[in-house]
Amino acid sequence: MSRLLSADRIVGVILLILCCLFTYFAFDLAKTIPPFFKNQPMRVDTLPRILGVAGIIASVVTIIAPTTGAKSAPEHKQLKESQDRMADLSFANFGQAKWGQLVAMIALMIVYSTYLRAGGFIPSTFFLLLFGSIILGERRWVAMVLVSIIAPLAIWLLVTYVLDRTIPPLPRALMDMMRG
Amino acid sequence: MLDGILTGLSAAFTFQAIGLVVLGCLIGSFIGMVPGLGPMQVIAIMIPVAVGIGDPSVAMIMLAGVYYGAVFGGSTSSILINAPGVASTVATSFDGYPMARKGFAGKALTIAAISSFAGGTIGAILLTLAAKPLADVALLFQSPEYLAVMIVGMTAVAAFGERGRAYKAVLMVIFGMILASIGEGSQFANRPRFTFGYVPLQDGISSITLIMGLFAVPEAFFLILDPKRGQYKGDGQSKEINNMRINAQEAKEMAPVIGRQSILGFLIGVMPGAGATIASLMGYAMERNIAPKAKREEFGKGSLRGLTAPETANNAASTGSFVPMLTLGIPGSGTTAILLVALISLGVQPGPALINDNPDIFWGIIISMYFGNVVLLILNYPLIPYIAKLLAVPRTFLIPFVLFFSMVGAYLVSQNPTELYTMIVLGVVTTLLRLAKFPIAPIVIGFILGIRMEDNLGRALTDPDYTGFSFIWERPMTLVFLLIAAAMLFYPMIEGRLARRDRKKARDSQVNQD
Repeated sequence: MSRLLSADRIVGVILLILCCLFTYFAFDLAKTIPPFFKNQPMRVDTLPRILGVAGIIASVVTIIAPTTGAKSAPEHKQLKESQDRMADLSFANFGQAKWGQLVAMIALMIVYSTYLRAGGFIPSTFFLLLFGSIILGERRWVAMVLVSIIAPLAIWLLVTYVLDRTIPPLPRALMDMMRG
Repeated sequence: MLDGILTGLSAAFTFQAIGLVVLGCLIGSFIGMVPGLGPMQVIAIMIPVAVGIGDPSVAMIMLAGVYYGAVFGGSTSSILINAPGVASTVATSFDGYPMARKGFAGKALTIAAISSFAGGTIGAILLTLAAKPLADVALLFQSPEYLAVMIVGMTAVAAFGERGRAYKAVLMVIFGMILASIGEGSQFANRPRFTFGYVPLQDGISSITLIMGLFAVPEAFFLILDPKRGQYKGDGQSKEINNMRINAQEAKEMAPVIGRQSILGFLIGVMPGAGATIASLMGYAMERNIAPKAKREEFGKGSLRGLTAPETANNAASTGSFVPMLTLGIPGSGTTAILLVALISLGVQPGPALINDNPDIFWGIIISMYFGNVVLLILNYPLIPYIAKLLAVPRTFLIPFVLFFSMVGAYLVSQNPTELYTMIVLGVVTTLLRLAKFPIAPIVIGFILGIRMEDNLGRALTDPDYTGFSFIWERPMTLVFLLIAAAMLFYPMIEGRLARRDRKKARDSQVNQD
């Protein structure tokens, strides 16, 4: 059962579905092409059609390919060890991973993305860094607050004066009020 | 060539460029030392700064400095705490860490620094010699050849990158090309595609957002998921750095290893998809195999040859990987793909014309390699004991910062939250793909080459000299390239099948004997 449901196959099936959808939309593009362009040898949908079909074939190969055996044997123990050490988490040690922290961090990133413009760069980043550390279990409050104040200020100065880019530093409402 | 070198020297030896190379090397070394963060992540984070600089030659020179710094930083953490920042420095820890444990951390760092310097410099000399003739040949190419060479590049990345599982890499290349086809891309796509009426998608996915989402964000996610990431075998203690000198006999033993591994590493680096990791592991294995018996037994216990070989080979290979990038505009590795993103973001069109259209950038990058190596040796190396003390940045501070820098980088592209959402989605998808052991570098290579492939395919198909795809058999060079691509793609699959059949045969014969 586990061999039938390998990670390769799960990803293969998901990508197969996506490639089928992409191929459908690629062929659907023909409807939007004006008559004059319809007989051109290269059209807006030429490469997407090729990609869609190639994607379907590659996904199917990924699904039907044997899950074991093709790996090249590492030349000696240390090479094997190096592969293991640089490997990402595998499905085997899923349980010990800090999934809760990851989900909380992704939620924090989404909130930051949504309110960055309205909340202003410096206050939003203060909360991102502070709550980011809290999520990861940090409790040295003085260090956290200091870092979360100094870093956004320093980066804002760098972006504004060195990179010459404008990011509103404070909440929009406050900026409007200051402008009068 | 002399003119070119002089142009490069004048681009690289300005006050601003020198300052930025030094800064780049320092930032690269520091971040490269952090376990988990390697050249790809550091360069990705630094691209917005490079784009902000504006001058492409100076910006690329700085990024090249960041690159060498990060490779060197990775070696330092491999030696001192047995935590390689990236795969290409894993082989360094085989003998570097045992040497440090024996109390020779200073000596190990010196050997690593000299080997890196020599490998990088010899690589840069070979690149100087090879770049111009290769670019001249590439100038003869027309659209069909470009198209075919791009297909060869992509296939090589798939075939060499993932032995026996090339189809996974091919799938990732196609995934990258599909992402590139969103929005207005190619000149032949005369209207936005696959945007579903959503205006912010009309410009397509920004390449900066893509590399943040593919490389920086997932690395932070893995650091969150696995608090012990990158620190598996070490005792977590920084080793005391004392005597950094090596003696004449040791230098004599290192010299032939450096000579061999510089050339081998460079050649491996030139091949798309092979890169620094394979070069360092092959270099290590080769030196172990050819060493006299007494020396062979030292391997894994703090061997001087075992440390010199991977350090030389990975730096020479890093330099070698610039050959296809600079001469053909085709990235052979994830790192050069990211550098290519930087080049494109700076408004420079990569390809064989680069050497003539922008000689200051072309030669500036090459000259900055010599310069970066010198900076690493004379400036970074004495500072290593001090920088190493900063290694103890807790992950509770490090991770929010990595995410913050990635988000600011993506936000600066167009100051639109859509960029950030796209980056988060890409980060999550990449994390899942990495969990399923799918290679990620082919995605960015497919993304970068996708639009350019479409342009070249369009030009070839609309060329009145050919009917439809007849350019494939009417232009011999195109046909040869495509046959090479097919051979590279199918050989590993056939090889895997043959290996399985042999194993099955062996098993069957054993069963029969029993």
